Amino acid sequence: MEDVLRGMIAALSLAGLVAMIVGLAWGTIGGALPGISGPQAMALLLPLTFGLDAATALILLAGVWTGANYGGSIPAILIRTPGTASSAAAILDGYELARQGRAGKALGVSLVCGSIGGLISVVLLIALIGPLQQVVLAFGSPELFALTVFGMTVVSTVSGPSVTKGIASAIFGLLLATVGLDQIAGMPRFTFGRPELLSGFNLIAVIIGLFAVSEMLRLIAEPPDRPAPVDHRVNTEFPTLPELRGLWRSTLVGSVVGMIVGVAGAGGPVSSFVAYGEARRWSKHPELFGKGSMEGVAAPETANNSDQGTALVPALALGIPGSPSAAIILAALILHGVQPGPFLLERNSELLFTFFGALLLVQVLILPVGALILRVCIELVTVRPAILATAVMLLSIIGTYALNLSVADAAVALLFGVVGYAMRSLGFSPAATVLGLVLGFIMEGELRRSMLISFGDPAVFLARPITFTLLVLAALVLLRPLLSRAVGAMRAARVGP
Amino acid sequence: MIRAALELPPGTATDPLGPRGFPLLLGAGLAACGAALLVTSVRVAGREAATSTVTTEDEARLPYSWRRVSGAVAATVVYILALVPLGALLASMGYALALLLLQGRTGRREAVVTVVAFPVFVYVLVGVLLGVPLPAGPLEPLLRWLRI
Repeated sequence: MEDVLRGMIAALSLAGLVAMIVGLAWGTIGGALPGISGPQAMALLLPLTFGLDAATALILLAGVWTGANYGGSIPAILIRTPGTASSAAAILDGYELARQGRAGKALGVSLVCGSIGGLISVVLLIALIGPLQQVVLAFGSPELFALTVFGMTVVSTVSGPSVTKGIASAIFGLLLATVGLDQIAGMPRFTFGRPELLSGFNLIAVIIGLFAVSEMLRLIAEPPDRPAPVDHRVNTEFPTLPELRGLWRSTLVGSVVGMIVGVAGAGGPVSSFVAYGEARRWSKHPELFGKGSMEGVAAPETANNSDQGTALVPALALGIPGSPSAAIILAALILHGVQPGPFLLERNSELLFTFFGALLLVQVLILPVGALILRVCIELVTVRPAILATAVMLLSIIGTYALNLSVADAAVALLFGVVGYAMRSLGFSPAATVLGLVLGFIMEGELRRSMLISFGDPAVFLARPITFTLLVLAALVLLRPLLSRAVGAMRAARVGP
Repeated sequence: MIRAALELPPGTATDPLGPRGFPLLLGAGLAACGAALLVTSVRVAGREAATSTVTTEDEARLPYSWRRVSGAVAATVVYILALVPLGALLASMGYALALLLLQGRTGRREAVVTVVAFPVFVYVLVGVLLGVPLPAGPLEPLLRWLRI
């Protein structure tokens, strides 16, 4: 508790406060813009954090992540176009409320309930991370390797309809992580004789390419129709206390669902829709859902923000990203010379608690910032896709160049932008590639150390109960679609023609 | 991939997997995924042949979108190459103009903001506020006079 308070005080420095406000503002705008979601908004700011200290950089990203969660709901409520996938459920009742002339109230409910969900999940994160890291510190290399393999199961949630393509995308990311000097033997691998590649691909350049540049290339290739005009007179109307009392049930349902789904790694879109369905089931007025129910806005918006903290639990305790946004937080740590993994809390407790403090504060600061920036967002949600794509491409390339004043880094961002675009076009998952890239270094290191302590005997992974259980669980999660299809086929065969 | 990995040194007593072990495993994993996808796509292709939903409109749109993407990639390559000799500001303005032209018509006010004001904003943000010494190119005397 003391550490958290100290972290909050550290985050409240002038630089921290500015970082939180700028992060929240940029995140809200980014989330509201079509084609930019939380990870993209965070990726675009990554190079700009290079000149900041690690704490301020993390505070800034905490703001962007929280802001983007709310920002995505603005176009969902106002023009029936979700800014992020997680905000799609807000359309169901939010847009209905907007049609009834109560858009301001829907936005207010989204802000307040999202803030409550975020606060609860960050408290859970703080409560869980210490004990979890104590357990992990007792792990050896085989267990840590198995943990990273289990961490890859998150791929099944970001890979879209084809899990096989998701796994292939993640393996591609793991392969990218092998480029450069070998971490044990110190010899160059897959560098094609290029000295620039000795330290591997620049992680930030790859992330910007796969997330931002590829998405903008898609926007350039297939520009969506310009959104419908918006009522520019909308103002945020916060719910009154009696209204909030009426929303406690759906807010609670949203929090619980968001955290459970977040821990399971299923992501924001799943949690918000599940929360919507559950809130309807538990509501005293289920008949109002879909017709402009404030409970129908509160539940998905709470769930949407609740998975933020839970996605960070594996990322910060184990070094395993629970979502693309968590992967970017890990990338930011690496950028600032902090190695994620089981020793993170032990070695960087001050930095981590400042981040936690900032995460708590931004959940409160989003209320005034979100309300004040609404007008800017309303102007921007109708911006032409051509303008947006041009601005984001320019920012991506110049931002990557600015990392090391290196034309090669900018070229890497472009290269992976093209790779990401091709992957998206063919149904592969750039997000899974980023997860693989972030995990690759730890996974290979622990695998090789495991083989060393077992004198090259792979049975070490089967002989240790935790390792064996984690590997079996990982295989079951990844092969679940195949297994369920096989079970379905067997049942159909048993029923007969 | 597997072939490239096999060219790396094998494991030793102190490092049983060696530099080649992990990439080899990954290569095998990719090959397995490729085989699985091949089997799936052959099955799906057989099923879709009977109920093809690709319209002539889709077919006409594809080359058009690829042209736009190729144009954007080419413009970005030129931008990256021109960043140092032309300077970040001039190169960014040219790049923004090229991308806008590539994507078709837009409002005059929006175009001016994107081509002139946005690159200036980014230059000031990155170069001045964040202190990154971006290349100034031929505009260096002017930018120095303006203390940017």
